[in-house]
Amino acid sequence: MIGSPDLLAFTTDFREIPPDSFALPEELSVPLYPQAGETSPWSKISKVKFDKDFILISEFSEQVGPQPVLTIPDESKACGSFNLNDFSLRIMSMDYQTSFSSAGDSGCPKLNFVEDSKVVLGDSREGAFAYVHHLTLYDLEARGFVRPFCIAYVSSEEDKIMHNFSHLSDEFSKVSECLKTGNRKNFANELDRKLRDLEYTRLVLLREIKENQSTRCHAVLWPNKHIELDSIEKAIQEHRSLLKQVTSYPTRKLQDPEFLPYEPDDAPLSLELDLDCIVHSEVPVPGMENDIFMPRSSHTPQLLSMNLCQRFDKCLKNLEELCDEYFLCQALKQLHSIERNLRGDLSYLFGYQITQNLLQHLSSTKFLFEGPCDLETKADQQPEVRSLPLPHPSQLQSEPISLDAYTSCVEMVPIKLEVSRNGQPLTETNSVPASPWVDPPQTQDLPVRGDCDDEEVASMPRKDSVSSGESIEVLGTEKSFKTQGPPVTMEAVPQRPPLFPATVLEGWRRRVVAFNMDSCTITGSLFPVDKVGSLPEGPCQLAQDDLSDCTTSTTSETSVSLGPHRERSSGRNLRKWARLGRDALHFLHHFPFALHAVYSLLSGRTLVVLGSEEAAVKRWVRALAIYIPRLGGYKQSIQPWTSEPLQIADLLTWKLVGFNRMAFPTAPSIPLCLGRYSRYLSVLDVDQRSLRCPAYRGSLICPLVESKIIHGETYFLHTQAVISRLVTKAFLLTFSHGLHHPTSRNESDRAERFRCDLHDNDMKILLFLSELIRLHLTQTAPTVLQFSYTASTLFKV
Amino acid sequence: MLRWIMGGRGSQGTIEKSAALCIGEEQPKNCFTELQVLKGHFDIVRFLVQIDDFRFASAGDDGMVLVWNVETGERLVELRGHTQQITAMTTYTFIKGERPHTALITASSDRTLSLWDPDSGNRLQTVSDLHSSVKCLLVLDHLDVWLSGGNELCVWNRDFQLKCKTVHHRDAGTLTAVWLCMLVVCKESNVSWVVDLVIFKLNLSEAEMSILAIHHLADHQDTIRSLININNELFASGSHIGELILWDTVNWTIQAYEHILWEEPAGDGQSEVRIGQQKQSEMSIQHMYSDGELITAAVGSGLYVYNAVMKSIVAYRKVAHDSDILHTELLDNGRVMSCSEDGSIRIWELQDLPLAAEPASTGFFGMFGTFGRSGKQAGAPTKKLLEVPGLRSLELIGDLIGHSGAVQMFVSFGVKGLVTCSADHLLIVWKDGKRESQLRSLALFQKLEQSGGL
Repeated sequence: MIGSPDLLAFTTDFREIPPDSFALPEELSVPLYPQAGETSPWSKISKVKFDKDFILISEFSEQVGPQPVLTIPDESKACGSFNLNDFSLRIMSMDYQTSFSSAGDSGCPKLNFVEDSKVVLGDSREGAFAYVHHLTLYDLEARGFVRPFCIAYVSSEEDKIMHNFSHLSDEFSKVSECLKTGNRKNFANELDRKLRDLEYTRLVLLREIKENQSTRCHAVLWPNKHIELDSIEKAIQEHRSLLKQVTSYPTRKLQDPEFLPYEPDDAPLSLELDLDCIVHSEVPVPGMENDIFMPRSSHTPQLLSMNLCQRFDKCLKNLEELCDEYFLCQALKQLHSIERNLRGDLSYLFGYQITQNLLQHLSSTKFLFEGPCDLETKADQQPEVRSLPLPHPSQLQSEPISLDAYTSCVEMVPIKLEVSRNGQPLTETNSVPASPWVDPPQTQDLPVRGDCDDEEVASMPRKDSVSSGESIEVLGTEKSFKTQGPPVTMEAVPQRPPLFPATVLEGWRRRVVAFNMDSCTITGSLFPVDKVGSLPEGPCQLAQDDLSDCTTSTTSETSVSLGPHRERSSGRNLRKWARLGRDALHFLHHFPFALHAVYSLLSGRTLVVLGSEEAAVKRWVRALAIYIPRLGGYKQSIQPWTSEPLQIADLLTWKLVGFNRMAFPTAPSIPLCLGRYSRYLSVLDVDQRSLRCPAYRGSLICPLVESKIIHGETYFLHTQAVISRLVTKAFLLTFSHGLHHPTSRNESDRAERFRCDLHDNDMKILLFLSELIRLHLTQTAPTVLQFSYTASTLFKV
Repeated sequence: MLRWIMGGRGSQGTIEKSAALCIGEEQPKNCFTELQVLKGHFDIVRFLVQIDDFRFASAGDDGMVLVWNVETGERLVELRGHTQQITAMTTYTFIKGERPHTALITASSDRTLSLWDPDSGNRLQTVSDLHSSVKCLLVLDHLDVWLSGGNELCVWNRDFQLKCKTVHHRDAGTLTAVWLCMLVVCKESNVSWVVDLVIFKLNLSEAEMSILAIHHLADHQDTIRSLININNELFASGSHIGELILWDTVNWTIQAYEHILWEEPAGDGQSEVRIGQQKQSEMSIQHMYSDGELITAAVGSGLYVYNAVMKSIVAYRKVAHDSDILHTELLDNGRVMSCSEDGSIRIWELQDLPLAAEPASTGFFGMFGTFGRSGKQAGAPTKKLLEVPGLRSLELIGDLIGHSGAVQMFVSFGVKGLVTCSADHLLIVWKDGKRESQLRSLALFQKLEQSGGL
């Protein structure tokens, strides 16, 4: 019924690198698409019932069992006929609790600071695969005070999930951290209220017992006041203990260097106030009963009965009640961003990651046409959520001043989940100390071998990989941080062929690696020096080195490609590209002489789009923006609309200017300032559909206008391809010493040939790009205007 | 193009003008293909002074003096202290500790004189409470004194001590204009200088320096606008109405007299109208420059090149700019450069005329008067220019456009570039783009070598 955890983490391309001296350097080589050996990524027939990947939040309700809470994007948009209930059942029905405490020794309840667990599940029947991140939130009214939740990234592509596991794991951990932080805050508030109720009740009870006269009004509530008082006092102790535990949450986040204390704009104040409130209110000094009744918050203490307290038949809190509004909002934002960033199929994401990875090595030229901006939408874009906004640890950690008042009471709170599925009761617990999850992973025994084969490279004891349901496979799990010994992680999403010995590498390899979401992963250093150093010497060491090499690169790559940059590359980016490409295509169709305008831009000659209608001018400026090499700040090169006369200094920075003809209504046809600087300018007259600029007679940029492409996005990518060929040539030109400073006849001949091979116009483009590269590398601000004395031609439609 | 100018037919008058001004965008001989805009001044920049082979100072109506690096365009030092516009600026090189130091002397309308160290930006010396503001400065390096000209002529030593001064007995009104032109002519031990054709003698033999007016030359019929030293034998003066006189340094006799008249032939009716429209300044010799043999003169908006040795005209162009030329120089490569109120700088090349296959109509050449007043140059009062052997033409080979106000003056650093200053508060450094590109390339390779790769 339950398959063994038969799979694997990452499929990896262990291609052998032929010792070819002409081959690209390793860091520039492009790995094959991992599934290239199989059918094309587009030919797969999916039987899934949902339209696109989505994120699902489910909870294990103690009343109704697993149920979906929300999806991102909305259910109606993504899920189609996919049965969320069923799927929730599957992903929640595996055991997720990986942490428990050592034996409790007092009567007080012990909060479990349960670490999240991460698994990859597959439902082969539905064709759905999911990365599932389990977490627990606290709820005073819930059984054991915990509410199990899980966040799942559901996709029809297994490979996509495996490939992005570390990214998902990172990002979901942040979301989880955020939710839990908000939850702790609400939980503390709830405890505080409850404590006040209890204290108040206790006082009333004491008074009544002392006066020994029943007012009868409470007779129903408290049949036996003495027993009631006892239980109230016990409850007070328990709640104090809980409050202490939750407020003194000694987070591992503190040791986590990645944890960035975030100061949200609106939240911290209220948060601090809340904490202050807690701090001050939870010190009920005996004999100062009056204090208890001091109005400290809006909460009015109520009388309680322990009989009522422990009833669990109330309606459970929903997520909004469990988690502070601000944090919930941030978490959802983050989830939306994850969803956005992972849109597209694996081949697209893979291609993007490779591109980003390769771009890392092209630092000397990539700045030139990096991320053409969308002038219209740039301002609207939300600031990227780089790190999750979490309150400063000190705020959450601040110990109540009444710390001493609390006794340390530790007690196991077993959590028992009973799910009836397919008529078959399924029980899983994690409350037993002897449960397999406590076993420290045998980190030293990691079979990391240089001669890895089809077997798993590293197989961790995987006792936690329990799954339920016929069609559910646990594809990979993660152990929690605390229960393990020294955390050892091997995570590999190799983006390039690792350096394994050739003999052992053939075909497609599957490597199973254990994932461990510990602080190392978060910091991005998967192999801290001390841990690597502790590994055995010999062939293992070699492999380890290789691994560390590749994982390091992976991490850096991940942090780049899946980090903030991905924000731009997501669907929004695709749309942006499509729009940019479409605009450019429009331009090409509208102006038959577009090539010459593009030549002006690529050779650094300022192009003025002259017109009387702002919208039209801006439109063409936008259309031309993709051809502009970057000088310094990208936006500075473009001035979408101006009515001010151009100054000579403007020409140094502005390379594309929308100019208001109506600012100079008296000027005959062309404003005076444009006429004055006409030798530095190309003028595109939108109203008269004419262009005055040097004519282009070269060949290199012709593909930009001669393509038959009709799709915006395709054209955008086509443009990027053509331009990158230009940049390559410019790079060569920049670094060919002999071309600039020929020392021998041979070299000057070569320089001559290089120039002869290219048309003067093309040479001008390359020289301009080369100049930009030079300025970039010498870190000189482009403060000069280079120009040439060439005749302009007037083109008319 | 030349034919149009020389054609002299009235119908071509307008064509001639546009032909002279429009060179088009193709300028293969113009090597200034890179420009750098230097911002820093807040008012008209009037003066540029070269300090050494890479530094120069600029000054103008905002009272600030800025020192720049011509290679990088970096502003090195700001010299602040004058409260009003700068009226004169010059460099002053002196030996201090066996090393030559170059300092800057500036004069301002606030009636102060200051000595600056362009390395540190410190004001080394200052003189205030002058009776009048100084209009011109002149350093006599070999005597280690310098002179300031205002309503009076003062002689100062290195320590800013007044050695002697003249009290001019003429009225101050005319003097103001006169001081603009001051020239030192040195001949053996006789040190004297000329101001508005007043020759002064600086007597050094006595214990106290003294300065005396010893001679007056009153041959100009109008205000003298410019005065230059050509060589040891000659100096030249130019007046507001286009008189150019070459003087002998020793005996102050006239060696040559040219009266430049930018006029159309009198017989042409259309030209008469144009003459009527001509401003007086069209013939004014605003600026002159000499390399010891050739003189270039800015005559109104025209250019005039004269050979002082041969006493003959070399080339001329009546309309070289759209408005008055403010500064002109002969470059090392034999080219002539001029800048004008029209905001442009133009580069001219002296070219041989095609052999006079078509005798141009007498045109306005006839209106050039070339005659000498001295005995040596006694000849026909009017000579047709075409008859002058070796007459060449000034061909426009390039223009530099960038300023939006009058270009006040320029300083050439040879291959390193050219600096221009303008009424639009800007300085522009014009450079050879190809050379600069190579230098940057070299810098990059050096950097790569140092850092061992990318």
